[in-house]
Amino acid sequence: MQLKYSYFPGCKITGQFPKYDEATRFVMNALKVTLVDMPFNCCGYPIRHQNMEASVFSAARNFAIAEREHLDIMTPCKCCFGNLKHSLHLLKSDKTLLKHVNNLLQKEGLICSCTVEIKHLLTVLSHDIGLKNVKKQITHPLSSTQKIAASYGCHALRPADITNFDNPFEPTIFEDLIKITGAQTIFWTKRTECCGHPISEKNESLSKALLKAKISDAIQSDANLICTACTYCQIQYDEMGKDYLDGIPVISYSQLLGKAMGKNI
Amino acid sequence: MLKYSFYISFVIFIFGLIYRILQWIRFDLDTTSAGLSKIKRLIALWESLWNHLISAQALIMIKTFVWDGLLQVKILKSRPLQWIAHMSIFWGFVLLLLFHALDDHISVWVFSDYASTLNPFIFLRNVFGILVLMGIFVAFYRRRNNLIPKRISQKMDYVALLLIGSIIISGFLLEAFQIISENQFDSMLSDYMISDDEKEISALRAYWAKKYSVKFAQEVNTNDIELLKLGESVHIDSCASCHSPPQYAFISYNLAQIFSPISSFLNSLQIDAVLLFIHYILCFIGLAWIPFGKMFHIVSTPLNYLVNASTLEQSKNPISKANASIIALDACTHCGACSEVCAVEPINRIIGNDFILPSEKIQAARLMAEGAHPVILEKFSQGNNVCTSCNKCTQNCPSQIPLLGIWQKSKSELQIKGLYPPEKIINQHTAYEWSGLWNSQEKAAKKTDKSQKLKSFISDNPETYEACVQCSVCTQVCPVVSASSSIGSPIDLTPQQVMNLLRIGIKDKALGTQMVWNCTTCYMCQEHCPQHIPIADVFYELRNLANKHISLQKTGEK
Repeated sequence: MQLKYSYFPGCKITGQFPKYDEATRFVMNALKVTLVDMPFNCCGYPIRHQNMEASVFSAARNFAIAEREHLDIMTPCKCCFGNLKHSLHLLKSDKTLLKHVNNLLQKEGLICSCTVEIKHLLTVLSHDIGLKNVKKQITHPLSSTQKIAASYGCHALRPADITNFDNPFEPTIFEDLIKITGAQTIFWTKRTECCGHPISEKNESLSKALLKAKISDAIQSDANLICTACTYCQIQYDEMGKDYLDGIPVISYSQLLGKAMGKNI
Repeated sequence: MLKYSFYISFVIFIFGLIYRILQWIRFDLDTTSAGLSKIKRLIALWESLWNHLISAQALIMIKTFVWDGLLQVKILKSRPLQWIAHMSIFWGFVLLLLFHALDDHISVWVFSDYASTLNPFIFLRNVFGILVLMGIFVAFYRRRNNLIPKRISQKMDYVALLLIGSIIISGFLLEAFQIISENQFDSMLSDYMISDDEKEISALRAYWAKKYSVKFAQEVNTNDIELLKLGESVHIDSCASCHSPPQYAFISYNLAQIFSPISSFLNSLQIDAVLLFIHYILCFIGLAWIPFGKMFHIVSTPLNYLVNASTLEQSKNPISKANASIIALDACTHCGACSEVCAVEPINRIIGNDFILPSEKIQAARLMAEGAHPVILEKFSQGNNVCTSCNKCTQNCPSQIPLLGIWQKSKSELQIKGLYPPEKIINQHTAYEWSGLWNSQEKAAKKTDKSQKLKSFISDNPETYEACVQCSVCTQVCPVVSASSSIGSPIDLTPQQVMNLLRIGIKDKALGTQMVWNCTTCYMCQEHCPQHIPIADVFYELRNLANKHISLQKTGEK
């Protein structure tokens, strides 16, 4: 059966990382997965600090829109993924909240029944499509001298009981997906740590310090490329990492896979 | 009387126009622009107008004016229904203006045999009129029934629709009552009838009563075939060259039929003269209002298209940039297309600050440029901070206003004016000072309204921390704790210490701590906690609470 998802690109991708969007659409198309664009709004992640209710409502409206088309949501952003998962969890476990949200949604003829499933780009590739099937499309395997550090992204990994992404302490999903492109992966201790983006506007020096620690670890562990699977992580590397990266490129997994499929984006 | 009314409204219109244009150099969106000489800005405005007229830019300008201004191709692509509505109103009205209102100057000159009561003019006038009314109906329906347009629509939007609609409806009624008017018939008779033979006149009356629906107070015999024949020949000699059958005015004619039972009463009131007065006055009000209301967009929006299209303006010297950004603010038609696609619009439904919505926020930006009151600016700042820069508003704006640029400029401008986002405000006091401020705030709130007490969920439940054994695993795995030490400014409290404050029930002291506000929400603590305490979730809740406190703070207290 052909796979079909409602595509949730997230707010930041068009403005700050359009290549990720382009590459994601390219690899999904190559893997014969249909991505449907929908009138989604913000996932609710940025407002969560300020107002949890607004965050949950914002997410719930997206669920209602996807459910109306009977499609699951796939997002390439781990912060969108994490917040959508978290909101879905809250809505499922709190009937009063769900009722309140639905009262508001009703005004525009929407209803959230919490039947939607939230998927991240990596879980779609790894679980729904399957590593074998992804591998079949790889026509230009990457060189094995390419040592790639997989930068996981917090909000997909944790809290694991809600996100169900992978083992939060010893995740493998990202490395497995990189290996099928022909490149090597390296182990680095800070691979599951925070990139620092969430506090980049609040406390720039601290945000940079977090990123610096991460990048130094990757370099010391012999990486010659860092791979992300989150719009925010990539923005953080691009905007704050220049001084620390020492020429090491940082690209998204969609771009990496695209390259292995013969398309440079 | 009507003549003077026109002069007055025209003078108001011209002065209004000058007033609005002067505002383009008087106000500034940002402080950098404010420092520029006003004289230089005025000269730049004039120079740029001149440069665009004489250079090759003129071609681009003409193309943009026709393509975006007159045909509005951009709206057609993104919003076909709105395009139909807007085009109907715009073209219906413009054609009526040119060939009906200004017929003495344009129609007469274009069509050698023009008479307002001849076909096709009589027919087309009704077509254009009904076109405008249909457009207004669609626009009104959208504003009343669609969720977002309904929320944002203001008096101004309805007044504009109402005024245009009234001009058209009064025109239809005027035409209807002129059709049945005996006075109208008599005055035409004295102006154009050469013969004063009684018999011919009564024949013509009979003919016009039958064929042209004029309602005479005195009974007219319309069954005498001989009389009608004579009437017809008089009609052909004196009237036919200027009068097509009234049925061609398909709206007005049918309206006249509706009123025919009370026609003699209406005629005795000289209702046609009254409506003529109303119709003219409404047009004059409309003219005088253009520079002061949303209808000013007929000037500012095309101008904004031209500014955007100009390759000269893209040279972007600060002076023309300052002018361009204030013109852009004026180009908003308050159509709401931006708010309909705004990614954070649903958040407004919970928070209830309309300045989250781009269509409202741009008005706040304009108020800021004019030097608005701090209370408005504070609301503006809070709304603007919610924006996620998805840029959908800019992409969807039919007026091509660079909205995202305005939001970003406003953000830094608001900070210059001392309006900081909560994450900056929180640094203005220590956690201890905040706790004192907020405790007094809560006490005051309790006095006035008990429901104002800020609610919280997991952090107020002692069971949440009951299992905490202060093992400090959370602190050991926290990347913020280690990174802050590495740059030589260790965080004030560790996660474990914050948990301890909560455990012993002094939550107020925890709300403003650096730990809570610098948390990256990476959930390392929560994932590693051997006792499964939802540490990161509690931090979220504490920030929610502190944010509420900050937003409840009155202006000036910060």
